[in-house]
Amino acid sequence: MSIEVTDELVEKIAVLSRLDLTREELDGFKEHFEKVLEYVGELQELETDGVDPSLFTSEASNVLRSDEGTPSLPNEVALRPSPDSEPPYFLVPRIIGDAESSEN
Amino acid sequence: MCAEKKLDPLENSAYEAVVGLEVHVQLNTRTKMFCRCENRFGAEPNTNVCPVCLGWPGALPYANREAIEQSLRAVLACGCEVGEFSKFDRKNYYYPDLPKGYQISQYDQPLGLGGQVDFLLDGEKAGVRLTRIHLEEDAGKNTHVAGRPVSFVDLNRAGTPLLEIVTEPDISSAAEAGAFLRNLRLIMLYLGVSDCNMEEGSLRCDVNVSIRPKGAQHLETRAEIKNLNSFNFIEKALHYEVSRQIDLKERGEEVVQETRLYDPERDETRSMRGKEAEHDYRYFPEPDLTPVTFTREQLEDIRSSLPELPAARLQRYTSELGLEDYPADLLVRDHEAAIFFDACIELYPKARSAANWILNSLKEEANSRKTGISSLGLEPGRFVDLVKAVDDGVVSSQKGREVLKPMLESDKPVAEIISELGLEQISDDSELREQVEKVLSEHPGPVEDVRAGKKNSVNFLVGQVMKETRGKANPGKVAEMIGEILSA
Amino acid sequence: MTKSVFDTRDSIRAGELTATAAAEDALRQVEQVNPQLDAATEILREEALEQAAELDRRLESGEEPGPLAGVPFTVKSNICTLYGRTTAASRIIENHVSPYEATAVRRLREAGAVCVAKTNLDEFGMGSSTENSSIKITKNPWETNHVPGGSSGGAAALCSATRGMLHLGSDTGGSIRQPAAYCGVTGLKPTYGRVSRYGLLAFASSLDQIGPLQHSALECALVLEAMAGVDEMDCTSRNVEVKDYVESASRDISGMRLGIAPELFPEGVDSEVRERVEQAIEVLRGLGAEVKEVSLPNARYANPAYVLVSAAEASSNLARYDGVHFGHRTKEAEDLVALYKSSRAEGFGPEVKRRIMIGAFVLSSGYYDAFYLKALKVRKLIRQDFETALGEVDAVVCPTSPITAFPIGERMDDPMKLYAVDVLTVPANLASLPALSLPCGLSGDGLPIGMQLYGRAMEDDVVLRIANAFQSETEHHLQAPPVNAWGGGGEA
Ligand SMILES: [Zn+2]
Repeated sequence: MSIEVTDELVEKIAVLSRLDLTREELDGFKEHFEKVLEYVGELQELETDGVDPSLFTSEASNVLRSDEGTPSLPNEVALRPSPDSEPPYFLVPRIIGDAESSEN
Repeated sequence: MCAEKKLDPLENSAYEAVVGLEVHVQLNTRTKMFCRCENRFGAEPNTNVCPVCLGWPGALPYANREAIEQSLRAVLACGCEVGEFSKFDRKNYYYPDLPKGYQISQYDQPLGLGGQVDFLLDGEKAGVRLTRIHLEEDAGKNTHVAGRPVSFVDLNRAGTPLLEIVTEPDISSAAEAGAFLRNLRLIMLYLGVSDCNMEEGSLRCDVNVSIRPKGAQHLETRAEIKNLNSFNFIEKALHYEVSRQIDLKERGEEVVQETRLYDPERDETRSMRGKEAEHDYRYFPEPDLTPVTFTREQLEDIRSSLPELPAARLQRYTSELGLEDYPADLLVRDHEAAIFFDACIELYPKARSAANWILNSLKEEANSRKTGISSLGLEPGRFVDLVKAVDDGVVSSQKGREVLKPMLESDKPVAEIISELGLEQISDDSELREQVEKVLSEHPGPVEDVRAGKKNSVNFLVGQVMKETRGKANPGKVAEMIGEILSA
Repeated sequence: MTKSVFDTRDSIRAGELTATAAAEDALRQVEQVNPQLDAATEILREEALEQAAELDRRLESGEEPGPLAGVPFTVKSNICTLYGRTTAASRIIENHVSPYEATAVRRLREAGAVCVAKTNLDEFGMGSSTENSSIKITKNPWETNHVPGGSSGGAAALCSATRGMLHLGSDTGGSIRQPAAYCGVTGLKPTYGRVSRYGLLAFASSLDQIGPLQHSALECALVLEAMAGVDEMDCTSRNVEVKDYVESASRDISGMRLGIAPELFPEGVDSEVRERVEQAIEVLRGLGAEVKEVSLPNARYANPAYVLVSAAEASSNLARYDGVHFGHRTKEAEDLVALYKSSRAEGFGPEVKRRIMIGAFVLSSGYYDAFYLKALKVRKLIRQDFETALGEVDAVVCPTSPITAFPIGERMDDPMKLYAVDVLTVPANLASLPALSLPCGLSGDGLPIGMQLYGRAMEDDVVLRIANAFQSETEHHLQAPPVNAWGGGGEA
C-alpha cells in the first residue's frame, strides 16, 4: 500500500489523536511519518496470506472473575487526582449538544 | 396506543418508514463488567468507582463471568448464532463520561449474530430480525445546570455491563417498534438478566429512521435518534421524525445522515451539532482481556436451562391450562404475576381460580402499594391456601378478599386468620337449616311469593339468611335448602 | 559495605544490620551518585526511613516480616507506588501520586522490601536512551557523556552505580535489557504474564512486562520469585506455578542446548559486540552446554512489526490522559475539544506524540488491514519461528544491542536511528518470551556489552540458570563503573 503523506492526512491524524500541534510540529511529524512508512514497508515483502493474526498475546482464554464485589473508593479519593471538580462531580467545560451520555 | 395512531403521519401517506433499533439493556449483575464496584442505580455520584472504572493510570479490566453468562442467555433466547470464539475490542473516542478514552465493546466477533424476536401486533403475528447482540461497558453520565458553563460528570455507571441489541430495519411503524420493544423487554425480564427499568435507564433505545416511497425496496438516508427512555417517547419521536422527513422530501430537500436528540418537552427531535461529525473508532482487540470461547455443550446447557419465554407461556396458559386469552395475556405481560402464578399452580392445579385471584385481588394489593407482586413477599403456598379455602367453601369469595390484607401483614397461617376474623362459612348443615327455617318463618309473604313461582323472592330470602349469618353462609347452598324446604 | 542483595537480606535477618541502617545506606548511595547520574526522579528518604523503622519494630518483636525484610528497592516511575510520584516522566501527570499500588510493588513491600526511590525513564517507556524524559536526562555511570539506554535508564544506571538494592523496571521492546546491557548489569524481561501488569502505566499492553535489573542473575531470580504469580487484578497474568527461582537458577547447565540464530547476529552488530558475545558463548560451551545453529527466518521483520503494534496500542492506552479525570489540564480551553487537544499537546513530549499519531493512523479506517493486521500476522510468524527454534534448543543466545551506549544527543535528531537499537530485543516481546541480558565484557572504550538469552515461555528459570552459570565462571557482572557509590575501582 503506497500512501501519500499529505498535510491533510497529517492534520486528520492529529485531530483523531486530540493533539493541537503547531505547523512546525506537523511538518516534523510528516517527515518522520514518511520514514516510518518506508521502514515498515519491508513488511509488505512478507507473504502473509492465510496467516492467522496474533490477536491475543496469551494462549489463555476465558480468564473471568466471579461476580463478587469489593469496596469502592470514597468520593474524595476518586476526585483527588482530577484537575477540576465540584464534589461529588468531575467538572468539564459545558458539553455542547446536551447529550447525557456518549453511549445512550 | 390508539390515540397515538390517529396521529400517525404515515396514514394515507405515499411514504413508508424504515426503522431499525439499537436497544441497550443494562444487565443486573451484582458488580460492574470489568471491575468489582457495585452495579447499582441511585448511589451518590462518583461513589461506585475504583481505579479500573475511573480509568486511572495502570489499572486493568477483568471481565465478569456472570455478565457473559447473562448475555449468553439473552443471545440464545433471541435465537442468535453463537460463535465458539468471541472477543472484546476497544472502541476509541473521547468523551468525559468515558474515562479511558475508549470503550470496551465488541466489534467483529460479538456474542450473538442474527436471531429474531416474534410478537403479536394487533393480534397478528409479527417478527423483527436481529443483526447482532454484543456486550460492552456502559459510559458514565453527564449533567448540566442551566446558566453554568460547565458539565458535571458522574462515573458510577461507567463500566456497568450493557447488552446492545441491534435490529435489522424491519420495523415500519411506531406501533410495531413499541410492540417489539415491549416483547423484547418481557424476554429480558423472564430471563432475569435485567430489570429493564426505562426510568432508571436500564433499557434505552436509539432509533434509526428513514422513509421511502411506499413499496420501494432500497434504503434511503437515515437519521439516528438518541435519548429515548420511554415507550411513549419512542413512539412520539418516531412520529415526529417521520413527519419531519416527509416534510423535507415534500419540499424537495434531502434528509441528512446525522444524530438527533429527542426533546420530550418540546416533542421534537433536533440535530446534535456539537457531536463530532465524523467518527473513526479505530477498533482493535482489547489486549488487556482474554478472548472467550464456548463449547457446544456449554451452549446447549444454557439453552436447555432457559426459562419459558412469553410466547410459549401464553400458549401453555391457554391451551394446556385452559385460561381464556385475556387473563392469560394479562398474566404473561406481568412477568412477576406469571412467575407467581406458575408457582401457585404447582401447588394447586386449579389454574382459573389462581389466575383470577392473582389478576384481581393480588394485583390490586400490589398496585395500591405501587409495587410488583414479587415485592409483596407473599409465599405462593399461603396464597394457595386462601384460594383453596374459597374453592372449598371454607370462606366465601367475598370474605376471602378480607383475608388477603392481613395475610400480607403477618405470617399467620391462612386458616388462623380466617378463624380469628370469624369468617368461616357455616359448613354444618343442621346449623344452617336452623337459620334458614328461622328466616322462612319470619317472612311469610316472600315465602308465599316463592311458592307462587316468583324467583326473585328466593334471592330476597337468601339475602336475609346471609344477613343473619353475617355472610358466613354459602349462598348456593342456602338457595338449595330453601328450595328443598318449600317444595317439601 | 554489603555487596549483594543477599548480603543485605541475610545481615538483616541475622540481626547484624537494621532495616533502618540498610535504608540509610541505600539512600546515601543514591544521594551520592544521583547528582552525577540523574537516575532517580525522587529520593524517598522520609517515607523509606519510616517504613524501615516500622520493620525494625516488627523484627525486634520477633515477628516474621517477610523474605525480603529491610531490603531497599527502587521503582521505575511508570509503576504505581503509594508514596512517591508515578509520573512516567511525563508532564501530563507530573504531579500524579497514585492512589493505589502496583501488584508487583505490593508483593515486594509485603515481603518486607522498602522503596527508597523512583527512577527515571523515557516518557511512558518510549525510547531507548532515557533522553525522552520530561524530567531530566540520565547519564551512564561508565561514561557520563553517554546514555544509559532506555527506557529503564534510571534503574539501570542506579543499579550499576550502587549495591544491595532491588530495581524494578519495565520492558516493552527491550526497556529492561538494553539499558542493562549499556550499564553493565543483569536485566530480566519475564515471560509475558509471569508478573502482573496491574499498576504499570501501559505503553503497549500486549508487550509490557515488569522485571528486575540487578547485578546478578541470582538477584534477578530473588526479585522474580517475590513478585511473580497470578494476580486477580490482571487477567493476562498466568496461573503457572512460581518456582523457587533462586534454587533452580543455581543448577548447572551441562547438557543444555543453546541456539545461535544468524538472524540475531545481523550486519549492523558492532564487531566488538559480536566478539564478546562469541567469547561468552565459548564460556557457556565450556560449562557443558551444547551449541547449535537455529533459524529465525522472520526475526528481521520484528522491529517494523513492533513499531506498528506498539504505536497502535499506545495511541489507545494514552487516550486516558485527556485532562478530564486526572493529570494536566490546559489553562485556556473554550470548549471540550480544545481542552483535550491543548491539554494533550502541552502534556506529551515529541516522541510520545509521534507514537500516538502513528498508532492512530495504523488503526484508522482504511489502513488497519495493511498496517495493524499485517503486523499481527508477522507477529504470528515470529512466534512460530521461536516455537520451532526453541523446540530444538533450550535457549537462544545473541547480543542484547547491536552497539554499546552512545553519546547523549547522538541519535536525538532522527528517531529512526533510536528505533534501530531495539532490533534484537523486540522479538522477545512480540513472542511473549522470557529474555535476559547479562554483561559479557567491555568494549575498547570501556563500555559494557550485553549478551542476551531467550527462553521458552514460562521457563524464566532456564535463562536465569544459564546466566548464573556464566556469572559463576566470570566476573564481568562484578566490574564497577567509574561513577559508583562505594568508591570501588575496577571491581566492587
Ligand atoms: Zn470500579
